[in-house]
Amino acid sequence: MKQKALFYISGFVIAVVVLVAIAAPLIAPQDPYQVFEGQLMVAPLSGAGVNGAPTFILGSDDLGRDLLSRLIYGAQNSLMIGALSTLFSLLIGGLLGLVCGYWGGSVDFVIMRLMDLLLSIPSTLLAILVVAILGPSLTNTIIAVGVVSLPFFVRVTRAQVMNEKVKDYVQASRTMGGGLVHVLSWTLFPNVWPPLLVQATLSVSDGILNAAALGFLGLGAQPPTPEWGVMLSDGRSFLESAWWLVTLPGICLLATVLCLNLFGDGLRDLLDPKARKAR
Amino acid sequence: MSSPGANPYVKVQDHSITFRNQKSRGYALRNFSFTAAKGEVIGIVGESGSGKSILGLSLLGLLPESAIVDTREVILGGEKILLTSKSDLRKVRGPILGMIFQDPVNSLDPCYTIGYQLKEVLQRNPKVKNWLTEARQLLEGVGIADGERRLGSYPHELSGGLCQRVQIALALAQNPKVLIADEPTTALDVTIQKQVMELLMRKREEYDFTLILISHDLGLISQYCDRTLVLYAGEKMEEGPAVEVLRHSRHPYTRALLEALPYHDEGLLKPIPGLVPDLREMPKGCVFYGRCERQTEMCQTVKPQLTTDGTHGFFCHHPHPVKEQHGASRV
Amino acid sequence: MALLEFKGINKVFTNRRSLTEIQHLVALEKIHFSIEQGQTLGIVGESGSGKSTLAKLLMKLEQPSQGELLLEGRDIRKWSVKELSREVQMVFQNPLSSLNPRKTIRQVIEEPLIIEGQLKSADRRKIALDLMDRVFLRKEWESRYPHELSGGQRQRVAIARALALKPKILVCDEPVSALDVSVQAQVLNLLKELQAEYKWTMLFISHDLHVVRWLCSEVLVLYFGSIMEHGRTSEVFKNPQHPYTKALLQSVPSIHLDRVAQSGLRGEIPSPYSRPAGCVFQTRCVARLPVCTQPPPHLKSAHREWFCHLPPSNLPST
Repeated sequence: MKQKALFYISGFVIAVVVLVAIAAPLIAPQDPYQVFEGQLMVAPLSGAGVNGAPTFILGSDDLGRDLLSRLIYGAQNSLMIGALSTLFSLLIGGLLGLVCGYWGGSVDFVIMRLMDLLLSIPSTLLAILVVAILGPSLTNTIIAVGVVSLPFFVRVTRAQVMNEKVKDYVQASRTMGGGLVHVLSWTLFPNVWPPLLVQATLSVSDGILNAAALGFLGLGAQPPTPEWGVMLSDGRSFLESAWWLVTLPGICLLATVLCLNLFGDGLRDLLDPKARKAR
Repeated sequence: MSSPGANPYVKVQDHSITFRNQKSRGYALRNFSFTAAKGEVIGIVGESGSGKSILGLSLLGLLPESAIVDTREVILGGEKILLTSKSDLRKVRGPILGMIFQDPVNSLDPCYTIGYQLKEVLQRNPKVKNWLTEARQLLEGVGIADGERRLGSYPHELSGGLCQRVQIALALAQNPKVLIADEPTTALDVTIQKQVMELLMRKREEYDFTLILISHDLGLISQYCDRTLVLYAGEKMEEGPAVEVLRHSRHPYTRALLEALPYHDEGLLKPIPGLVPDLREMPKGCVFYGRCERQTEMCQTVKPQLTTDGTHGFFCHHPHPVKEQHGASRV
Repeated sequence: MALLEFKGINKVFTNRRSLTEIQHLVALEKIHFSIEQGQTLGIVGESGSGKSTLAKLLMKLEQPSQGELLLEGRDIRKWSVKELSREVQMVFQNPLSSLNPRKTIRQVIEEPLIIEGQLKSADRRKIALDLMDRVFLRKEWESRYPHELSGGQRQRVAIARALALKPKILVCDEPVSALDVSVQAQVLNLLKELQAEYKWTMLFISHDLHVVRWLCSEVLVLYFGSIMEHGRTSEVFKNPQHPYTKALLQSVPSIHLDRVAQSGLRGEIPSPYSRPAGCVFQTRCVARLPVCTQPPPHLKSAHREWFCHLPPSNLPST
């Protein structure tokens, strides 16, 4: 029961974050790029009315921008990086894993050794490497973060395919005259994707974290783009004078990542057909 | 065969096992009792879900946490055992009660050699002076000729039949008073099955333990057992001398099982209609109600009591008449 | 013309142990027999006898190393897998693993029709429901998943799936050995009834000699990849000629057998890498002769053949 509750709560939080990200232009009280002069580092819920500036519900940052609006738009960017980088590694990693698992042999050997190479480099370092080659930008952050999680997708897919392809039902499909396309898409795919989906939800959170790390190092999204990692890094220097500049993006990041992980765990249990209730 | 009851060597009285989860509880075994004499071979026969394997595990205290064992009395090898006491269970495992499992390869630890596994058991036995000679003798005793070499082998290097022999040697190393063999030959080929069963029979004469043979194979039971108990859905249906029970069964369930076997040449087989009842929703009366040919209304509500005709006992309101040979006899 | 002919089939698996060392594993050697339309051939033998490899050759999951496998007189290598699937279908041993766990049982039964790709989904569904009815599965169960069924029901789904393309040959690999006695009888009855109805040819692989005797018109006894004895079931079981067949029959426990010490079989199948020259059974045979290191002669009598150096016994003169 507790497990179920956690699954629903985390799902709810994720849904809220996604909705906020989508509806950012509608709900953000201010333009995230607008600088209010003389309103630098206003504490939350104060500083209303001076020079015609609005109330900063969550305070303002060191340049006088509304923190709440920046957090809302930041959700957009952070989630997008997480989702797109996951999509990137899901598609490429899934395909490579399928090839490795189904055919094996020397193709498998070469691809897996490449993946081992990627795995042997610390993830942040690898991301920095990719960004250093491609140059810092939002798109390149996505690619860099995607490359970091690639080996995990390849491994999960490959293991699952190898595990399933020897089972009788796959043999049965082949004896029924099923060609390669049928065996891969109709027979194997439904049995391979559930763990991939779980891996994907976990990978979104990793992606957000990695992107934040890149942003923190100044290699991710470039200012003035609002992104949680960048905001965290910018606020760091004001930790003692303006706590909210670090704390609030940090909490957003933490909550989203935590919920994605909990959701992924719950999904794993849910997708097991044997755990589903018999009718 | 000494008369059971006077001074029981093995006795299990009113043994019930329930499994409980959050939503429901169900009986895996209900008010099960049996006795056995020293050196006797008792066959426990039943289909999957009958509770036959649960019985062995419960006597060794190997059931999962969710199982509740409720029993009046358990006597093994002449000693009274408290199944709730951890120290009693520790005392039982090995020197009093040995167990042989169905899957010979997976029942041996894949990380250690046969020799090491034997050594571990033999060194715990205070009577054994030199484990190596003892181990060699044991392996020789179970028909492994090149025992010396096999001591250094890992389980995966041996065939299923050899692994089963090693399992028997491991059980015998503690000189148990009672040996439970749970489907010991189901994973083996018929020719190897025969070798293993004959080995068990020889060892029983040599070591004089009581053998409890759990199996679904009626042929095997009739070939090797003195007495047999037929289990269905966690309850005892019929008991008595093995050949008697299987050739002249009185209980409709035993009869139905035998008639479902392809022991004749022509015509169709006679399957038992329906399915085993859900353990959570057991019928109030006879558990075989709903699948039985001879059932009447009273079977649904009234639980049948033990009826005996000399050697042969059964739980049925409408048993088959006495001494009626059934099934086309043939070799 | 026989429907199916195995002509001198050898199957050798090669196993590369290291760069220089290659091991050869003989799975089948000189398999030569044929099956007529409508016959039921039981294939018996211990594990390692090559029975499953035989089925795999027929399903084209493996290729023979030598020899020809003719289906309707045409080499199986010339058949496409799709063509072959219309003629030959298979029922596997473990019904749970042979059914796709994430497809409903209607989808499972429809699979061969989907591969065939000629019917619309409504027509496929109708055929699938008819087949479910034919194997005594309730139509309401169409959207259940395999794990929600009992073992016997699952195996009936597998049989329905094999029927979908109306094959001429059905290969059953130990179809009832994972089932309980009472359920086994249902599935066996179903197979026998369907066989009478569709007149198909059946290859029935089993280790249970009782089942083979009940179901099969012919029996093929395999040991260590070679044929020991082959012929009409009633003849072979009543009066086995090969010592291996005799030993096999004596090893089966039966409730109608009195407990006498019968000669079983000593030892086990030797390692597949050390195949004895001559008769492969010589290492375990109780009636072994010095001549057994030579290849055994091919002996024949009415309705049967066997390979043994021993003179025939108890045979009516023909």
